[in-house]
Parts: sequence; C-alpha cells; structure tokens
Amino acid sequence: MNHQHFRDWLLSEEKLSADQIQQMQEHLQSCESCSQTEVAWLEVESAFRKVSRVQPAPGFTNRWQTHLAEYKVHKQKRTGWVTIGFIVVIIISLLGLLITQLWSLLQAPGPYLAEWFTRIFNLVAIYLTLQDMFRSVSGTVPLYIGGMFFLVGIVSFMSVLWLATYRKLSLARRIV
Amino acid sequence: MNNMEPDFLNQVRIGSPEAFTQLVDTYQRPVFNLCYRMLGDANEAEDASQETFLRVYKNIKRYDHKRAFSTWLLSIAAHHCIDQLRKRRMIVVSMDALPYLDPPDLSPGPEASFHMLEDQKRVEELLKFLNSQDRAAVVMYYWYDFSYEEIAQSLSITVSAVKSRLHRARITLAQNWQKQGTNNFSTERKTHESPAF
Repeated sequence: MNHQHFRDWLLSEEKLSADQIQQMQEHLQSCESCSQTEVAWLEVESAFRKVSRVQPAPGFTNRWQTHLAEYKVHKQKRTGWVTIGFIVVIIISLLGLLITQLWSLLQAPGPYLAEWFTRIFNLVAIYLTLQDMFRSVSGTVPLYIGGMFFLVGIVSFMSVLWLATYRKLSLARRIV
Repeated sequence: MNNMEPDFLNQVRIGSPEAFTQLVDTYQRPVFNLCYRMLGDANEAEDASQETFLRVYKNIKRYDHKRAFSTWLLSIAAHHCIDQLRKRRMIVVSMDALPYLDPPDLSPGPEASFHMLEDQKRVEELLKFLNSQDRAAVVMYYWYDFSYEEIAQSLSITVSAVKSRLHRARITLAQNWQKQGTNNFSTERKTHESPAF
C-alpha cells in the first residue's frame, strides 16, 4: 500500500477497521513524514478547539438599526426617483406622439384621416376574426366575450411574464 | 446554536421590527464569528455581518421553514464572505482590527491570555492558506458542527464535494501548520541569538 493511502486514512473522518488501524500504526512507526502529518493535524484540531469564538463590538444591534433605517430611506428615495422617471418618460413619449400626430394632421389632413380610418377598420376586422374563431369553439358564450377574453388574456400573460422576469433579475443573488 | 421558534419566525416574516431586532440580537455572534473566520478582519466582518442581516431582512419571505433557520442564515453569510474574498483576492489583515474575544470561563493570567492570542493569530494565518469555499466548509464543520449535508446545502455543492474539500483542507492545514512551527522555531532561535551574529 502506498504512502498517499495512509495519509488519506490519517486525515479521513471515516472509521477504520481493526486491521486498518494495525497497518496504520505499523506505517507510522516507519514513516516520519506521515507521523509528522498526524501530529500536525492533531495540533491543528486542538488549536481550533482552543480559540474562542469572536464577537462583534458592543452595540451591534444599534448599528444594525441605523443601517436598516439608512437602507429604508435609500430605498424610499430610489422608489421615488424611479416613479418620477417613469412618469416623465411616459409624459415625454405621449407629448412626442401628440406633436408628431398634430404635425401630420396639419401637413396633410385628408390622407391623415384616411390612414386613421384604415387603422380602425383593420382593428375591427381583427376583432371580428377573433369572434369567428371563438364561435367555432363555443356556441353558448356571447361572441364578443370570446374575443375580449383572448385579447385581455394575451395582454395579461405578457404583463405577468414581464413582471416575473423583472423580479427574477432584480432579486439578490444566491439567497438559497 | 438554538433555532428560532416558528411563531417568532412568522413575526419576523410579517415584518415586525421588534422580532427582527431580537433575531439580530440572537444571531449576531455566530454570524460575526463566521464572517471573522472567513475574512480575518474585524472591520470587514462587521460590515459583512450587517450586510448578511440586511439580506435576511430583504429575503425573509424566501426562507423555507423546512430548513433550520441558522443554516439558512449562515449560508447567506458564507456566500457573502466568499464573494468578498473573490473581490479582494489578496487578504490584508490589519492587526489593529482585532475583534472582541469571548470572555474565558476561567480568568487566565497574562501568560494564558498571551497564548490564547497567539493561538488566535496562528489559526487566522492558517485559514488564509485555504481558498474561500474550503475555508467556509472548515469553519462550518469545526466551529458550527454542521453536518456534511448542511454544509452541502449551505454552499450549494454535493456531499462528496464537501468531503473532498474538507480532506484537501486538512492536508493544506497540516502542511502549513508544520511550516509555521518550523518558522516560529527558527525565529525564536534567532531572537535569542547574540546580535553580534
């Protein structure tokens, strides 16, 4: 049996059989390196047992409370800024949209109105197609409810997906 | 380490500030001790402990009641310390930043206190030879009596990986202990030698 094997036995927590103990003792008598390793490891274990547990400086809980209060203030501020930023982005987007639409209307009122009429017509066509699809699925449910459910369902699913992704990405790592 | 009662943990979960303060009071020492053993510096251990409790506060709703609370808490502390060690890579320990030691059971004389401090420093030096994951496994095993399964769960590794990490750590510790002993011996001899030589 090789030298490495005995060192593994020495440092292993597994229980050795009587025969293995006998072999180990014989090896330790002849191998200075292994007997030194054994002594060193016993001393390390003894030192681990001897060193006392350390404790934080007095007032840890008070410092924690201060830390928590700072965190809450910081979080509140951040939430406030995020909300303001969100509202500003929405307002700017709406204003931009409004200005471009007004600009188009003032430049060429006829084609602009015709374009919008086409868009509304397309939306109604999609809605009627959805109703037809649901008519085949169920004859008892009112037609408009089926189409509504389908549209609302898609919007809800997308919202939930977005929220779940945001939550997953924003959570602290490795809290198992 | 005693585990929290379910009623008390429920109070913590619903956000009771008193309950959380009591939780910090109860667990500050084990958390700080683990952080100190991992980081080797009292100031950093203080910051890491505070951050651990903040993470617990933010994620308390994610705590699984089937697990021991102390295991969950210490795993958060260990992961945070591992991240800190990875960030700094090089460990620089300030000897001015020594932590408060537990009051000993018997009042030791100056010599016993000196030896205690020496042992403390020697163990700190020794732990620095281990990488962060091995160090976490050793600290949990020898200071917290965690089982292999608990360590595996805390460090998100397998039980066999825990065993092999501990085995590797024992080899490293024994070898470096021998080296430390040799160095101390030669230093002692030099200090007692005549300055003329």
